[in-house]
Amino acid sequence: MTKRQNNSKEISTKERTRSLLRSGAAPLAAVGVTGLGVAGYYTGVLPDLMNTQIVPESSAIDGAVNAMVTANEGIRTAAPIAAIGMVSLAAYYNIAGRFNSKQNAINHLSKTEYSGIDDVVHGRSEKKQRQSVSRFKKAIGGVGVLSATLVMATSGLEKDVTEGSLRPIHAVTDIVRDNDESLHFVLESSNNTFMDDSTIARDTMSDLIEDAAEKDITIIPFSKELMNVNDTSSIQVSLPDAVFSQAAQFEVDESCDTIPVIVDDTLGAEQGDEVLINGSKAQVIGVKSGLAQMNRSVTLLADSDMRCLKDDTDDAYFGAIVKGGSTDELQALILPETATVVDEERFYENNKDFWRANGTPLILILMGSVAVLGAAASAGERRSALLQNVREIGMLNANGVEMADIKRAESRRALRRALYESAVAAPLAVGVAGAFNKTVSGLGVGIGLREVAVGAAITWVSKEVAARRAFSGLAKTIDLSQAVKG
Amino acid sequence: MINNKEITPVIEAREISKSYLGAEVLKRVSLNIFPEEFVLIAGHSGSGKTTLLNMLSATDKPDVGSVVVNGRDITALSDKQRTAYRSESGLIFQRSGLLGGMTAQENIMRVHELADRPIDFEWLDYVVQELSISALMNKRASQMSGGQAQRIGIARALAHQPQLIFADEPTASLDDESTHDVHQVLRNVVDHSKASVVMVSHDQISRDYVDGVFTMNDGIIKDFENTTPLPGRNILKEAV
Repeated sequence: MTKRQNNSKEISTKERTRSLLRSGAAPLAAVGVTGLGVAGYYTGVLPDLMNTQIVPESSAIDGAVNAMVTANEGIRTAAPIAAIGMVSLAAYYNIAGRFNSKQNAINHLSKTEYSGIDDVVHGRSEKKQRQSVSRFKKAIGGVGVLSATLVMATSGLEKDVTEGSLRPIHAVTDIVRDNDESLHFVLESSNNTFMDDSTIARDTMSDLIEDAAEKDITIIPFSKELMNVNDTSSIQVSLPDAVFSQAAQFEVDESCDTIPVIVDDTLGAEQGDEVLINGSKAQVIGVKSGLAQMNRSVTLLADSDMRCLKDDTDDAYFGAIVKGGSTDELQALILPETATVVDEERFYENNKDFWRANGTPLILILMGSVAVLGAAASAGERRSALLQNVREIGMLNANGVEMADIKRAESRRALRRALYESAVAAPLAVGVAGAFNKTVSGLGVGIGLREVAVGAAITWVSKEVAARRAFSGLAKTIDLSQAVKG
Repeated sequence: MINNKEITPVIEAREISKSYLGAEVLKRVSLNIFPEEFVLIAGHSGSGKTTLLNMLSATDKPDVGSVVVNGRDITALSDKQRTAYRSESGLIFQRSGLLGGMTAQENIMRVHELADRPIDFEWLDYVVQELSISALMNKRASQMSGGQAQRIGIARALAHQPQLIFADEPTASLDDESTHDVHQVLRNVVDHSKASVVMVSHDQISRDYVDGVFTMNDGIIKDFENTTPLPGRNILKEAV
């Protein structure tokens, strides 16, 4: 055996050893990790690790939340303008195409895929290529419609989360309001929302009612509690016995023997049914719709019965609704340290601000994610379509068609598809909103023109951005001499 | 300069060079193309024919040297100006580049509308007749054979009656009869529309239709040969 052969044998042995180690390493590692996992599970370390959550706290996050709330307002304000712009622009392109041959050609190009034929006639399977492009386009169209649908539905959800919380208070103001008169609220603080615990002592309120009456101002105190009705979460709003009796057309007595209540339809109870409020029996004397908040039904009842249910002597109201008088006039009647007067709109805005700060960012993130995914799918499809047809686009440019005009065609394609997908998505969004409402009690997501506009505008913007990005990518990489090469 | 005439050339290529990935494909090439001249660029594969044609048609830019067309240096133009220059010319490629979703007629019309240049319909009718594509005008490009699509591509390049035509292997996918038809149309363009044609071709019959042949080898022009079109080939139809 020569020295060279010996060396070869040594190398071969080393290689075999390494190979053995390598082939054994993976199963060993797998067994080790599994063993650690099992041990961790039984010692309780793993579940603890799995449940560990990191909650970031930073002023930057507050700033981001505020920015998102502002952005959402901006989107909801600008969307109808953008949607009208979309329709106008599409109409303009259509009309311009009838009078200008170049505009007509750009329109035509935007409606036709480049779908070059050279690869087909030079050997690739025409049928297979067409089918795969067609399937891909249909899938992307589906993603676009789904994205637009979800954006519309989430926009509706945002609206309901923000404004739906006011339904219980609207139920009360509707009862006491005469015609279109504006109202005021007496609350503990000017920043109070309906979710807060505003407290105004009954004595203070009685004095106020008396003083106000001398000036022909009507004060209607109300209380708010959170209780369980038939084991579901509910908001109780009480009105003075006389006001409730008149509204319910049911004479309320001060005894705690019977507790007549008006409930909303999300509770599923019917007139004459008996319901349990925190364990106490109450009689349903009326059922109304459109009172409930998300996941919370609403119960209207008389003040004396509310006190029966509370079973305490906490003599305080949440606040009061004021009919007549001006803010200054009313404020003059109140000791500043006991209560304050806010006008109706301010109170509602406080509530909306509260929910905007809490719910809107999450919903906006959801909406943004859907839009970004839709845009990414669209950009991928356009980039793929452009790169697949780089020869045809190169030929157009070589034949004197400016790249800017091909870009215009891509832009019009984005507009037309956004309009088409939004039109398909609008009825679907109504269905999705209905599914939301069915799933979550008290949710009243509605799809109006604004929601459709938000969906259409976001779809358009995302498609336009996608088209521009895809075209810029092509314009940067296209080599005309290669594109037209035989 | 290899060819030399006393009249002013339409195209003057001055010592143009071009490299791709470090390999020099064109080496200080100079040539003149004159008005109403039909020239052939011949040579083996990889000799630099198409690269030279691309430089003359402003489809590509030389690394060194200049190409002056009607007194204007096209190598100094912006992308937009180069597109405008190509728009004035007629470019025919080895493959048609037709859009499959459009009919033949739409493929011809739309490109010219997009480029904002008028079509000479009388002339287009003649070209369509000569190329025997009348029956194809309403057919979708995706339903055409390679040869049919190529003839539509040629009609598209000629529809605006350009004064400068660049053709890169225009007959590569055509049968013999169509090959003759295409050559004849190009010859007629030169003779009766006063255009100049620069064509790259491997077809032997091309020599029968052209006024001169540049023969390229390894990135340089090795030879220029004056040829005379065969008698009887220079027939223009009554329609034109």
